[in-house]
Amino acid sequence: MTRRDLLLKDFMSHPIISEKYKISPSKIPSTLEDGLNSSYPIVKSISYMIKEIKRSPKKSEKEVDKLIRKLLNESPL
Amino acid sequence: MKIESITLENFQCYYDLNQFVFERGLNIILGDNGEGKTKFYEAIHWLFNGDRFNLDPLISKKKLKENYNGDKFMVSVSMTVTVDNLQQKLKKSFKVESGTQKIKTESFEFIGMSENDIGEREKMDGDKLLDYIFPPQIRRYSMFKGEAELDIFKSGEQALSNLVKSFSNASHYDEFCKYGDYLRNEAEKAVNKDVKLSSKSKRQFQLLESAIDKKKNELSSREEQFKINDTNLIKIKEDLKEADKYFNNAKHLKTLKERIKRINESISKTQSRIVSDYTTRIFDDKWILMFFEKIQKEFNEKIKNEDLLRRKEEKKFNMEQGAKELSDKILNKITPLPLGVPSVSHMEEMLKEKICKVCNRSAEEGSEAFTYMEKRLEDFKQSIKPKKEKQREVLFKKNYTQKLFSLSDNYTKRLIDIRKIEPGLKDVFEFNERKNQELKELEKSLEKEEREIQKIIAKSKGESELVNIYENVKAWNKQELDIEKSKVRLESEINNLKRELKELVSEKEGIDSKEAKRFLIDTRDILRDIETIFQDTRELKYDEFIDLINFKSNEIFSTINVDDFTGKINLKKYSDSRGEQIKVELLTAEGEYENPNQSLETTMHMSILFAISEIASEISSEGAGNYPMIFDAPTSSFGLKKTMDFLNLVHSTDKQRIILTYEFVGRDAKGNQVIEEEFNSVKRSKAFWLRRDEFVKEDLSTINTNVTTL
Amino acid sequence: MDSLFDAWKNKIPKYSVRFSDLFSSFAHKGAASSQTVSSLGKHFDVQYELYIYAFFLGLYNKERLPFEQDEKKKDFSREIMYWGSKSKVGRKDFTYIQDYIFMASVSKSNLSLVALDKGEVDIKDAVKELLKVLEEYTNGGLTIINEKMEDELSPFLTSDSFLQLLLKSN
Repeated sequence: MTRRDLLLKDFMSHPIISEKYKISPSKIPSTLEDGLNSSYPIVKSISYMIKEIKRSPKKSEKEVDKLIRKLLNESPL
Repeated sequence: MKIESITLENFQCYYDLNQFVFERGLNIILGDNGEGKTKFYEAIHWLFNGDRFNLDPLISKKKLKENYNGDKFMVSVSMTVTVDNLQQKLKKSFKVESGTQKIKTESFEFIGMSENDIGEREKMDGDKLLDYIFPPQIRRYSMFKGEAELDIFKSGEQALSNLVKSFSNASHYDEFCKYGDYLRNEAEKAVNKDVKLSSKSKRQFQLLESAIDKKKNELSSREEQFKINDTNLIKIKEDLKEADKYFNNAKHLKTLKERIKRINESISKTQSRIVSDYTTRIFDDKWILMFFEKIQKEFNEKIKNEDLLRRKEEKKFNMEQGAKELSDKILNKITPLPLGVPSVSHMEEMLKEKICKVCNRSAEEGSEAFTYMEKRLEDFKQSIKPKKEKQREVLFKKNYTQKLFSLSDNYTKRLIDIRKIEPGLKDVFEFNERKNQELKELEKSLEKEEREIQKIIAKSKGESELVNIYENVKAWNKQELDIEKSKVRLESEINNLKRELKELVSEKEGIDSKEAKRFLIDTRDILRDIETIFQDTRELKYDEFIDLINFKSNEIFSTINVDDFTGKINLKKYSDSRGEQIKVELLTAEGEYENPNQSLETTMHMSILFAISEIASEISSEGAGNYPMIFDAPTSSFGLKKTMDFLNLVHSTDKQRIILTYEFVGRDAKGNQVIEEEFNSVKRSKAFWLRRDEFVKEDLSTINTNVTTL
Repeated sequence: MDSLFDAWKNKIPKYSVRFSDLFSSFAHKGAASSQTVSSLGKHFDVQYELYIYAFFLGLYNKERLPFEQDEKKKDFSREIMYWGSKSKVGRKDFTYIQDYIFMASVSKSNLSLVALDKGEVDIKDAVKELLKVLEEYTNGGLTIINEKMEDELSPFLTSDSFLQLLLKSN
């Protein structure tokens, strides 16, 4: 388990994920890879943010914003 | 990382080369105040942090005096450590040229020598090597001078954020929060922009927007004010605690003085009860008669014998006297009838009738029979008359010895008392022994109390400062009250504002949902949730870290059981204007707040520091693992016994710790320094003793420290 | 003078001059001073106390030592009958001691009480015999003290030194 996987795991354990978005435990990704391919926009967004923030050099806030916005616009909500 | 040795060369009171070789585990450096302990600590501090300026005060005066003729010599502090079995050395040094007029310092350098895994030595920049072998964020929590420095969470320090940054991954989450905030903000801006573009509720929207902005500002400034209040409150509480400690010290001092007075009184009383007038008691208490019984018995025996002899002789004498008288009578060859036979009346009758009625013959007057009867009657009449005793001869003409008999009688009765003397003496000796023991105990406790007083005096401020502090305390108390009041007011204002803001926002969002594009709203909502997730997770991680420190601190705290305190350390998080801080509290077993005395507080802080050290070695990324810790006089408030317990505990952790202390250094009867016996039972890997040479006060060059390994 | 005791207690016993320094070191001359005697290093408040002590010391140790021929003697002008009277504040009367000394002297003497009362022995000689006993045992006791002075450096340093010496007699 890489550090990024652990980060995703931490975020996924927040009650909003299971309660508001009703994502069942089996659907919660265990690796960042899986998260990036998730059908849930919130999961996908968080995974991409982890990827871009935790890379070297990390993407700036502006860049990440653009990326996520595009992501969310494209995917069916 | 393990420190192998530290060498001081011509550094202040350390003339020429002085090397300290250290072991794993507990290394203790003993030295009375002023003997060079703190200078040693400062040497290490200079090695790590010192710069090239103001070097003159660091030079050994003795060395300067010797080198007045212009020779050059070196001043240096060096440290050799091993990291992963490879030796690393740091040396900070400069050269000194001393003429008669001026002192010139030059060639300041900070060099590192690093050994690589094939045994080669590589020279490198000192600062770089230092940061490698002893990272600054770890160094910051590994060296402490005195007890006060141990409180790393004192207000004004950024200890928590430093610790989190150094030893926890909680700081990663800060980044995410920043991004989350930004993204959410952008999404909200996009929604606003979109709504504004549609003209339907533009006016209303704009009004709401400005109202919301205004509200947010108000709220923000109130919240800021609230945080500032909190910070101030904490500071005031700390100041009050300090003042309290001072008052407590004064009170403690008074208590100690009273105790000492009482002990002195007991000492006088006990001393006065110790029997010392033995020689006079020999007479006054009759002790002199202790072995007289035998002689008394001899005396009694003699008296008895004499008495016996006396009576025997008297009897003999009387018998002889009696016999003489008797023989006189017998010489007359008459065996007289006993007197009274015949009776008087018969005899008178016989005489009248001139007839002896015994032999029945006539007894004419003048005849032998008549004369005999006459005489006989005469003798009888004489015998019944109370007549004068014939002056008889007496054997015992004097009576000098009558008293002796009564002496014998009287004093025989008193033998019981004589027999009581020896056991009585034994009691006296035992009593004295007990009193002497009591005296010894009292004197020991007197010494202890006096040492306590010394300690307090050393820590207390002067009388005049008491007045100042008193005034301050009054002001602080008032301030505290004021802040509490404004806190309450602010809280309600904040709550109101929050409520109002919520209403405005939901009104606005009502418009948003009606006017803005669907997907913009959705995007905004998701990003709001993401921000929440980031913030909450970060909060959680911070709390986990604090819980970890809390838990480990308490583990260690419970083993350094000072004063048998059964409570716990509690680390509380709070935020102030500068960010997040930690407050350290002490709670009793029942969960109530406890105001710790100095030694308990020190123990608390030490526990936290050791906990952090443990966490650091567990988390350490470079594999350097354990780091040593250096403490200068961390236990001044502890006293001898607690210091011993504490040191034994530190030794048992088996981590390298260097502790400098003045405990265990005492003076003998002649005033020379000695190491006290108790030090023998302190478990340690190594010990050093710092002692100054004999010195002359006016001549600084004579103040030099000698290092002895114990 | 109708008892042996009365005749005896009018006397003042003597001691050998060679022990003079013992008296001057350990006893106070004349009447007891008001200062604590031990603080002046003197164990005995008055001189005859040392005399009495030496008598009992000699008595318990069975050390009867006759005087040498022509040995010079002296006394301290205090008749036996005054011995033990309360000397100062803090002291008690111990005149009882006269009786005990008398009993010991009689016991150890070769005096025949019977002969005395018979008139065969003169009262003066009887008293003389009793004094001889007293003086010779005291002589023995003083010798013991003197020997201790010669054997040890500071034998009577502590306040209980004389008591301890007496205790050793048994």
